[in-house]
Parts: sequence; C-alpha cells; structure tokens
Amino acid sequence: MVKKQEFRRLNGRTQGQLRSMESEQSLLNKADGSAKFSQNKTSVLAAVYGPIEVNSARKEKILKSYVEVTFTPALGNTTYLDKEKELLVKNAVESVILTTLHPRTQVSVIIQVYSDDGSIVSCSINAACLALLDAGIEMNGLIGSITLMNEDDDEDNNKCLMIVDPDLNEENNSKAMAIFAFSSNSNNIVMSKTIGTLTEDQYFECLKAARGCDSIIAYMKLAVKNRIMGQNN
Amino acid sequence: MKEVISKNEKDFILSSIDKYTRIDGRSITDMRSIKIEFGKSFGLVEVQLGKTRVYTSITCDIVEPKPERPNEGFYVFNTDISPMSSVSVDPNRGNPLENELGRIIEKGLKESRAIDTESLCIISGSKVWSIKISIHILDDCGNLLDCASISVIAALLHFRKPDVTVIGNEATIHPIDEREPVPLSIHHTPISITFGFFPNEIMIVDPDNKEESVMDGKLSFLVNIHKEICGVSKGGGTSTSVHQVLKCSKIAVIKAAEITLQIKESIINDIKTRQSSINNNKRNGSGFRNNNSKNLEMVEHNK
Repeated sequence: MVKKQEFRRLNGRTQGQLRSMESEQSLLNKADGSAKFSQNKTSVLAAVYGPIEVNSARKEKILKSYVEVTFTPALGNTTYLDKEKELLVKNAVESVILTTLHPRTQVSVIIQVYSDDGSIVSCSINAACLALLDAGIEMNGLIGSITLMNEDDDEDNNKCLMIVDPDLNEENNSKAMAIFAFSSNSNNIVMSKTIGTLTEDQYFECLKAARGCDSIIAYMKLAVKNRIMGQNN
Repeated sequence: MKEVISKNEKDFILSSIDKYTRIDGRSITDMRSIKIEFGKSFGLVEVQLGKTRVYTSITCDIVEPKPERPNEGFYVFNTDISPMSSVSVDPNRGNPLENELGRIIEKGLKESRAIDTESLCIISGSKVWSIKISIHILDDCGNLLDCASISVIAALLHFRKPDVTVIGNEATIHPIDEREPVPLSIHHTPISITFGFFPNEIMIVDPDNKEESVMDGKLSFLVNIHKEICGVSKGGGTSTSVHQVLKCSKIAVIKAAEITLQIKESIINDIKTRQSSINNNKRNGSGFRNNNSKNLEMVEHNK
C-alpha cells in the first residue's frame, strides 16, 4: 500500500503530514456555540449548550457541572461504537472545562458527523474544543487531538511504518491505532487510546510524533483570533 | 418543541400580521432565502432555509430483497432531530416530531411514485440496492418540514451510485473512481410548502419559529414542478375554509417551481465546479481520471 522507498502514502501525503484543516465557527443560530471542523473529507459539526439546567435530576452533580456528549454518525442510528466515541470525547473535554465554576448545571456537547474519512475521534475533539470556545465555556486550556497509525506489514513486524492522521483507507489496513489528546496549557496528555497491538517502543514513538503536531492547537488559536478580529472590524 | 415567547412579543407578531407585515420584513407570501451546499462526496447536502439548517446524507448498499417482492429495492428514511437544533430536544427520549417529519417526506416521495423501488433491482431475487437517506435537523428556526424536504430532494438528485454490469447471474460493481457513477432515477420532485394560519383568514408562507409559536394552525402541500399535488398534510389546528386551501395550493405551485429550479441550478453548478477541479488536477499531473465528464448531461436529462 505504501511505497516504502519514497515514504509517500497512497494519498500523496508524507509520513507525518496532516491533512489540510478547515473550520467555521458560530454557524448555528440556536446553539450557544458551534463549530465545524474538517480535515479534508472528514468533517464534523459540534454544538455546545451551556451552562444549562440539567435535563434529568439523576445526573445533577452538587459540586460541578455535568458534561454530556452526544455523538451522531452521518448515517443510521447510534451504535455501541458511537457510544465509545462519545465517551472518549467526553473524557477529553471534561478535563479542560472548569466544571467547578457552575455547580448543578449541565454542559451539552453535541457532535454531528458530516462525513467520516478516518481519524473521526480526533476530528470530533478538535471540533468540540472550537465549539466550547465559541460558547464561552470556561476552560483551563485548549485541547488538540491527533490520530496515529501503525501499518500492517506481513514481512517485517519490527519495522512497522507509523503514519499520522490516517484516512479511512489507511485505517482499514492498520495494525494498531493510537489516539492522543493534548491540553495546551500544560502540554500534558489528557486522553490516550490505543486500538490493536503495538510494542512499548512503538507507543512512545507514536507519542513523540504526536507531540510534534501542536500545529492543530496553533491552528485553533489562529481560527479564534481571526474570528474575533473579524468581528471587531 | 414550541418556543416560549412573551405575551408582548406575541401581541406584536399578531398585530403586525394583521397589517400584512412580518417581523423579519418579509411579505406574507415570501419564503426565506434558500442556500444549498454540497459535501465533498456525492449525496451529502446541507440546506439552509433562513436560519433553519438541515443536513442530508445518502449512501447505498447491496442487499437481498424480500422474498415476496424479489425485484424491488429499498429506500430507507431515517430522520433525526439532533439535540443541537434546540435546547428542548432531549437526546435520550424519542421525539414524535421526528417520525411525523420523516413520514410526510417519505410518503410524499413514495406514494406519488417520484422514486420507485423497482429501478433499484440488480438481479431479481438476490441483489438489490438499498438507498439509505439520513435527515439531520441541525438548527431549528422554524419550518423544518420544508427545509428537510428541499434537502432530501437536493440530496437525491445529487447522489450517484456505482455502476453495475450484469452478465447472466453475475454482477460486477464498478467503484466510483473506475467508472462513471450513475444517478438515481427520480421521476419528479415533490417539494413541501408550508402555510401558517392566523386569525381573520390571514395565512403566511414559510413561518419561522416565532410565528410558529403564535399561529393557529398549519398546512403543508407537497407539490412538484408539473403542478401536481403529491401530498397535503394538515395536522390539527384551526379549521380552514376551502377557499383558503385553494388559495394556498395556487401559491404552493408557484413556490415549488421556483425552488425546484434553484435546486437544479445549484446541482449543475456543483457538478461544473467538480468537473473543473478534476480537470485542473489532471493538468497538474496527478493521477485523477476525468470521470465526471458525463455528469452534466445526465442532470439536464433529468429535467
């Protein structure tokens, strides 16, 4: 699938090359904050309501606000796989939201997939971060997420090729996948999830490569800056 | 799902409608502006009717037909009112409006024979296409039905399914990048036009969310470009005179024709831009094939 000699992927990208990012903020009228985040053909819309009244008393937390994430796929009904993605996004965004500021309230994050072409969880987290910013929810930092993948290789197991931001085609050929989310203020990992088998060395190699991808957070800062500057003009 | 508005605001809306003006400056027979955007693949359409926003995505699968109907494929509709459309939507509970919306659109298309399931047959008794249509309501600012109906029609016209060759009992599916994908056979396009009724026999076209919360009742017409009524839906509300319904139908016919033209125009434009970007890629030496050259003719043929 990948021509090893030139380190070029089938889609023309290099090993560590991200897809081009696009975003749009405040596109919805009803939601408190919304953002669309696309990485080429993977495109996600996130909306945020909050802080609002908790919709069921059972979920109300006395000392902090309850974060609810709803993930809707582009097609069909939500399955258990979508519930898992929901949880991953929830864990990631909950760690940056200052939930203690508004006790007994709820922050709802709704993710709607437009089209899925790989790295959907990362794209959802990035979109959720932009939407939270747009809604003016207090956070202790930005959150950026990235997916890495180890390619399935029959010949040589030790020399797996690690690639960044895989598309759906590449994901189908993966041996292992790792999803990371970083917070901008401490530059620490807030979420890490691996799928498939990879050695310890490979995991740290992935982590190192993921660290180099702070361009996502830089992009978000630029996007927010552009929007605010645009509003002033 | 009704929005709570103050009594003053309600009185203001009612008194202005009494003088044939509306709060957003439209005349009583004006629709809000329609914006149609297409995604990067076929069959992904986002439609904005004023501030109301609906996203429709279509995909296809090959499945086995039901034994009692061996040469009929499937059109599966799935409506989802996303919790992002309004605060009052609870994601954990079913929404009755969801079903109503989907049913009106589905029935309007199927029972007027705008889409037929027989054209989806590949091999009788073993392989048929199943077309899945997902309607997502993203922003609820009134008149969801019309917006959803426009987006479904636009998505159906924009969608292309992979080409198939059948030799005997063997079917070969050609991937989209290998051979020109084919559009669905859509015979005509019923579009919903909704009217809101107010006291003194006044009616307005395309009520927004504030008008919806004060109006007495509504009536939706599904009309196609051939001036045929494919469905009428009046879900309760105030009683209306026959004269008024006839007047509505006349307005609906004109509005539906305008919208149909706009949808077709935007699809032709989209396919033109696709074609030119593919041509550019070809010139730049990347390995894209010029496989969209025939699309334009097909769309025009559909008219």
